[in-house]
Amino acid sequence: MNDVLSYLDSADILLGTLPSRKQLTGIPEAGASHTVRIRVNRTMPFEFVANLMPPFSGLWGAGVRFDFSDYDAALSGLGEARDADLHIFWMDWRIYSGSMAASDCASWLKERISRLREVTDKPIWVNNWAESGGEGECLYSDRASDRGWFRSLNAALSELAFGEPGIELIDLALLAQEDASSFYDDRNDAIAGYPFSDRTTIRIARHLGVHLLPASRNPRLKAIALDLDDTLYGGVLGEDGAAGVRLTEGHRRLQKSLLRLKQSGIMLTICSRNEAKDVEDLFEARDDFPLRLKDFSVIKADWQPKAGNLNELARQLNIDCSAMLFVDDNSVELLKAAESLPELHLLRASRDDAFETLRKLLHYPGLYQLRRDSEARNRTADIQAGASRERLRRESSDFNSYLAGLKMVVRLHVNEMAHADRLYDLSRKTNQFNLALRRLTQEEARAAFRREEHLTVTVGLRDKLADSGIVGAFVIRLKGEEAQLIETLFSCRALGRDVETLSFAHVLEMLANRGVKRLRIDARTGPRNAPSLEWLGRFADAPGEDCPLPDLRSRVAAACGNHPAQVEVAT
Amino acid sequence: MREEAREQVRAILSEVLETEVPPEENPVRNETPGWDSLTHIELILRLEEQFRIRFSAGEVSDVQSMDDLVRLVEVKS
Repeated sequence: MNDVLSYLDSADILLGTLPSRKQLTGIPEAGASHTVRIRVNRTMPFEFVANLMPPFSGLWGAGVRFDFSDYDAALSGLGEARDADLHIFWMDWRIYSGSMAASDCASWLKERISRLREVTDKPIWVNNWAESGGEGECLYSDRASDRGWFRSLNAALSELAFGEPGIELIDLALLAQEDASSFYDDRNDAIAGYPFSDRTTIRIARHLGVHLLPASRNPRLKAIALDLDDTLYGGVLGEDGAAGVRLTEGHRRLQKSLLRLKQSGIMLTICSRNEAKDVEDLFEARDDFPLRLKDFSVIKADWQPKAGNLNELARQLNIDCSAMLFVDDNSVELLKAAESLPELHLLRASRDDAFETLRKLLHYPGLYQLRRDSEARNRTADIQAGASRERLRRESSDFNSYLAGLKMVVRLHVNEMAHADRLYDLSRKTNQFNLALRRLTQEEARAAFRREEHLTVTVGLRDKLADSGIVGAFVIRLKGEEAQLIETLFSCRALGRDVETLSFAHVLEMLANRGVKRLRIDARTGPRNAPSLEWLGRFADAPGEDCPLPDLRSRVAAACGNHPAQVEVAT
Repeated sequence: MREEAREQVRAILSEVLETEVPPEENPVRNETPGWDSLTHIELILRLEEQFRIRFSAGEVSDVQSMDDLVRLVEVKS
């Protein structure tokens, strides 16, 4: 319990108002469950940032170990530290602004990245540059000042990061917007060639430690469970009534940010000690609330213990508790939840300052998004349809009648390169139905669609209640008459309808049509992928061994029975 | 005040250099292992935060020893 309290206290300091250097040194050292090895190829010092990162990465259990290149404006030593988990290009772009066009500079960097790509497929981060220039900047057009050069460079770097898989921007231009007046410090620049202020350094360390690093290493969180009273608004619904609770500017902005998180793919839920009817009436009555009742995938408003309700929320969303963040202003509720559900993520809302709650939410590790989520729009509607599916299942006489009643259409896409980002997402996000747990990099996800070496089938699903989007994938490496199923992934939203088995049967048929005789299926036991292993156990005795394709086909076909879904193949 | 300031500066310098500075010593920047430009900035930032003061660019580069820092801290505090 003390550990949880200590964690909550640390999170308050690290994630809220920008902490001072002294506050950072006072944070108790967190035991790291793993260490990320980071190679920094640089033209200016990175040590100031590196020294401040451990408290931030420690918040989600990661240690960091750095390996620095010499200062080298030509970036010539890129072959070193091949075993690093992450490579950073830490560039003082001012060095190049007087001698190269911005577009040439970006092209040169692209060539350097290609060179590094020859030895690593790990993520690569590159910093851009704040556009604001020196004193009296307002007197000069962007053509007459260096500002124009940096603006062009930043556009070219954004394009580079957008087009090349596995490259992310350390967006200094964005960070500068948060605190433009004290972004630079001439004194640091004069003495160490390090242009940034102390506050900027802390800001960069936090951005790397709680945004970019967890986003590069771990699946994004899937859901947020929100308390209501003194969290989403000020006051107590049961005492103040719907008209009496307060929506301060901080609460309004908190709700708007939550709405944006929902639009980005995070599912919102309510976990509140209130009467369900009162909660419905509240959202009905308060049209000034940016959040509406329909924005919540599931609502648990009653007087049951919150830990049980959080577990039930996760069950209804079909996700693991480790993919959910619980936000509550009451430390006791957070402690109780942690006791029952140790994997749950926790954030303490600031009862008297919704802006501080917002700041903490915006820095919570695991919420940062690297790429747009193409399935975000489908997700809440699909989850809400889940309740109707459950009802239909209860009312159906047997499983097959239930499936028939759904009027499902399964659409199989063969080597559809447009689904590369979705495959990457599925590989990183799915836990329960992730058979080989490869956690593909973006590079690997793209490579999986190269026609000559792979058969990669992505699975779309819709039924009469909702379009679930692309919910699954099979990645198969082809080698003559032999093939290897190197990854099998299904979104938890699609489970319970045997779509995975039906799709697999068709994938095996495709392999047979290509002359494949034997299939090896990769599987690895992880902390939460038992459902996928149990599924495989229905057809294959020993994962990892070659299996004659005809035998496998007959077993899978038998398991499918007469599945009533319509199957379409898009080529 | 001087002794108190000296003690705090010594403690911060010890932390930044990651080695205990003996109370009777006055480490000199160019002769002290580890007191390079990077640690110098770190030291300045820590002192500014601790004493809620700000050094000018000239002062930062003019500092040559721990006693120089103590004098500056005394004047500015």
